[in-house]
Amino acid sequence: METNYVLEAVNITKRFPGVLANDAVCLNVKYGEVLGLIGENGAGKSTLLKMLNGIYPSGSYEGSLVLEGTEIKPSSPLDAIRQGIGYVPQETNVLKNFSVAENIYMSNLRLESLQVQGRHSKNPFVDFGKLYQACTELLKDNKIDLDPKADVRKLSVGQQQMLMIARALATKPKVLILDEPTTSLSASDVESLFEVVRNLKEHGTSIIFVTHKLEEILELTDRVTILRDGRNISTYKKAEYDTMRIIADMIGRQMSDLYPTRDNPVGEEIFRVEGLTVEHPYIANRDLIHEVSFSVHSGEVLGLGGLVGAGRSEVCSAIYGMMPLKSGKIFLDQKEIHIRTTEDAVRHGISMVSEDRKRYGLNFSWDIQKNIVISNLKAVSHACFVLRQKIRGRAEPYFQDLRIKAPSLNTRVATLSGGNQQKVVIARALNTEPKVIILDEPTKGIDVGSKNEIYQLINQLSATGAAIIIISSDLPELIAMSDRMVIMAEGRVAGELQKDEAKEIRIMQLATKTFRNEEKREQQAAV
Amino acid sequence: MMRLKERNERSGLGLKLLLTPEFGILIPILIVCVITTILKPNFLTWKYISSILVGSVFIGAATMGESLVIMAGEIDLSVGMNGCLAGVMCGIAASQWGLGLVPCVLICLLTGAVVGALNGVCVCYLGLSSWITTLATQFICQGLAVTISQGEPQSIASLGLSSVTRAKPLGLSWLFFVFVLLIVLLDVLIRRTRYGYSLRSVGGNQEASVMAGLNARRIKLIAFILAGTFAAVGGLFDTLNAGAANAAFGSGREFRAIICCAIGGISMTGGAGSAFGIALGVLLFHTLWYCLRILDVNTNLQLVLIGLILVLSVIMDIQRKRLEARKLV
Ligand SMILES: Nc1ncnc2c1ncn2[C@@H]1O[C@H](COP(=O)(O)OP(=O)(O)OP(=O)(O)O)[C@@H](O)[C@H]1O
Ligand SMILES: [Mg+2]
Repeated sequence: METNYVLEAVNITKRFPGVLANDAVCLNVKYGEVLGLIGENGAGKSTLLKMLNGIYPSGSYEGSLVLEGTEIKPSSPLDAIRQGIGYVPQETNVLKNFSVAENIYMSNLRLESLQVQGRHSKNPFVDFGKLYQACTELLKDNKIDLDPKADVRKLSVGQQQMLMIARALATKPKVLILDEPTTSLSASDVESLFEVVRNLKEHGTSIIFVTHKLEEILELTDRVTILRDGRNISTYKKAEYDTMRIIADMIGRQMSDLYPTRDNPVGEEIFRVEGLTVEHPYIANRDLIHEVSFSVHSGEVLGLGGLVGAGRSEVCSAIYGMMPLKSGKIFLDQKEIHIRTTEDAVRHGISMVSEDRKRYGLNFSWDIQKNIVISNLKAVSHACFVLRQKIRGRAEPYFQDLRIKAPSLNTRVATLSGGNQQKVVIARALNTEPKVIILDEPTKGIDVGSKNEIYQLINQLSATGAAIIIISSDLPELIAMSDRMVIMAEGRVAGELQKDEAKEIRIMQLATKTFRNEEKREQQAAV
Repeated sequence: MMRLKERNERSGLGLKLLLTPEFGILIPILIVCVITTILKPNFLTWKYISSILVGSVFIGAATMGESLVIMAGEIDLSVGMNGCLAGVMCGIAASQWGLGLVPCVLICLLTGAVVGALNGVCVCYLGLSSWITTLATQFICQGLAVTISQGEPQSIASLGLSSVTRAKPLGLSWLFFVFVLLIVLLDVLIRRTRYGYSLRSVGGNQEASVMAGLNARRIKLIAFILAGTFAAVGGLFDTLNAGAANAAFGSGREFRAIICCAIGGISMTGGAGSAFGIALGVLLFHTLWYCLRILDVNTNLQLVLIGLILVLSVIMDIQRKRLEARKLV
C-alpha cells in the first residue's frame, strides 16, 4: 500500500438503528499534516472518529482501518492509544479532584511506558517528583502553558481543553484526533491551541481537526474532507480552498447570505435591568457583576459583547434566577418583577439557553419530545394531568423548524450528534413561548447551515415582538445579528454601541477597559 | 458484537419483553414459588397466597414513598421509623386522647408528612445530604416513638374497628385493597401527572430541569413529604392490623423498602421507575421472605439469601441496561 498516508480509513460503513451514520466513508491522513473534517450536525464526523478511536470497536462496522500500511482493528480506546491514535472528544471530561499532572498520567501514574523495558519499578507508590517532572517536560515540549500542580477545578474551559490535549499527547500518538476543540474557547485560547497544533505538525504528528468554523479550516488545515449525510462529498487541498464551495458541499445547496437581514421595527421597551449586582461566591467583598443596567425593546436583538470572563453569562444567570442578586431591579413591561427561581423567570415569560450544554443540557435517558415539552408541561396537560397524545403535537413544530436530525421524535437524545442536542436545548427554551429570550452562545457547535437557520429563527422571533438578548464569542455573528450592543468588561458595563458604531475595533476597546480605579475608589468609599 | 446482533434479531420479541424492567421480576417470583411448591406441596393454596398478598402491604406502603424520593435522585432512610412514630401517634390519639377514627388517621398521616417535610427542607433548602438528614430523623423518630408510647403498646380498641379489621372481603384483608388502590394512584401520579413528569425530569438531570424552568427544590420537597405520608400509611397499616401501636414496629423497614425499589426497577440514580414495578418488587421480596419462613430456613440463612437476591436483582438491572444500550449501538 501507499506509504504516503499515515492513516487510512477505507469504505467505513456504520449503522445505528434507523440511521446510516457512515456510508462507505474514506478518510486519508498524510504524514505531518493537519486534515480538516467538516460537515453538518449529524453528518457522521464524531461517529467516524469514534471508530478510529475504538469507542465503537472493530467489528461493529464495515470497512478497514490502515495505520502506516498495516491494517489495525482497534477494539477499545486503550487499544487505539497503544496503536498510536490519540483522541480528544467533543465534550471535555477532566477529573475534577486531581491535579493537572495526575489528570494527564492517570492511566499511567507510575510512568511505566517511560521507563526502560524490563526494569519496571515494583514500587506501588506514585513518585510525584518524577510525575511532575515528566509532566513539565511534556507540557514544555508541546508549548502548552499549564502548571502541572494546578487544581483542575480552577482551570478555565480553554485550559481544560489544553489539558485534554496534553493527556492525549502523553501517549505519544502518531495521529491526534481533535473533535471540535475550539467550540468553547475564546479567541486567544484558540490562538494558543493553533500554536500547539502547528508545533505538533512540525514534529511530524498528523492531526485530524473537526470544526464548524470555516476560518479555522482556512487558517490551520492543509487539506479538508467534507462529509454530508454520512458520505464523502469532497476533499480539497489548501490551494483549492473556496469558502462558498466548501459551504455548498457541506449543506448541499447554495447559501446566499450567512446572516439574513432583519427589517422589523423595534418597538417599546419591554425588559430592563437596573443596577444588577451579584456577589462573588468565593471571594469576599468582590462582585461578580457590578451595577449592570440595560434595556431591551420589543422586536430588538441586544448583543452582549465582551471577553470571556467579563460576566456576560453571569448577568444572564442572574436574570434567569440561577444566582441570587445582591442588589438591582428587573422590570418587565415597566413593572418590577422578582425572580428567585428559574420557575419565576419562565412564568414571567423569560427563557434562556445556557452555554454549558454538558451541565445544563438534557435528560439523556429521555427522548427528544419529552425533553422539549418538559419546559412547559402546562401546554400539554389538562388540569394536572399530562395528555400524552398532545406531547408529540407540541414538540413536532420545533423538531421541524429547527431541522433536528433524528429518525423520529422518540429518538433518545443521548444518541444525537452534539449539534443536534444543542438544537433540542433551543427547542426546549422556545417551547415556553417567551417574551424575552436569552441565548448564551446559541450557535456553539452548530454547523453553518443550521446557524443560518437559527439566525432566521431569531429574526422570526423578533418579528413576533419578542426581545432577544444574545451572547456570542463569535464577533462577526454578534455584530451582524444585534441591533444594539452592550459591551461588558470586568463584570461592568463598559459601553453601549448602536448598530452603525459596532465595529470590531471599537468593541475590543470597550471590552478591554479596566475598572481598577473605580474599584479602588469604591473600596475607599466603603471604608 | 456481531453475535449479539444476530441474537438480537432472532429473539426480537423475547428480548423486548426481557428488557421491560417489570417483566424481569416475574421470573424470580415464579422460581421462588416453584421451589417452595416442590418442597411444600400445599403451598399453592389460597391460604398461603392470600397471606403473602396481605403481608406485603406493610413494606409496600413504605416502598411507595421511598420510590418517589429515589426517583428524585435522593434517599430516605427514615421511612421505617417515621411510620412507627406515626403509628404511635395514632395509638396515643385513640387510647389517651380518646379521638375518633378520622382524627386518628389524620394525625397519623400528618405526623408522617411533617417528618417528611422536615427531611425535605433540610435536603432541598439547607443543602444537607439526604443520607445524613434522614439517618438523623430516623433516630429522632425512633426516640420519640419510644418516649411517647413509654414503650407500651397503645391499643386502638376504642375506635371499635375490631370487626372491620377482621372482615375479609374476597378472602383478603381490606388493607390489601387499600394498598392496590394506592398503587393505582401512584401509577397515575408517576406516569400521568405534571408532577410525575417533573419528578422524573429532576431525577434524570436536575440542572437541566432547573434550566427548563422547573423548581427542583419544591419538587423534591414534595417527594419527601409524600414519602413521609406513605411511611405513615405503613405505620397505620401496622397499627390497624395489630389493633395497637407499638414502638417496635417498622424497624429496618427503610432498608427493605430500598431493596424493594431496587428489585422493582426504580433507577437508583433517579429519574425512572413505575408503580407496577414497585408492586412486583415488593411482591418478590415478600414472597421470598415468606417462603423462607414457611420452609423453616434458619433466620440467619434467610438474611444471606435475601442479600444475595438483592445483588442478583441489581446485576440483572445492569445487564438489562447494557442490553438496552447495545441495542442503540
Ligand atoms: N449511539 C447512537 N445511536 C443511534 N444513532 C446515533 C448514535 N450516535 C450517533 N448517532 C446518529 O448518527 C448520526 C451522526 O452523528 P455524529 O455524532 O457522528 O455527527 P457529527 O457529524 O459529529 O455532528 P456534530 O457536528 O453535531 O457533532 C446522527 O444522525 C446521530 O443521530
Ligand atoms: Mg460531533
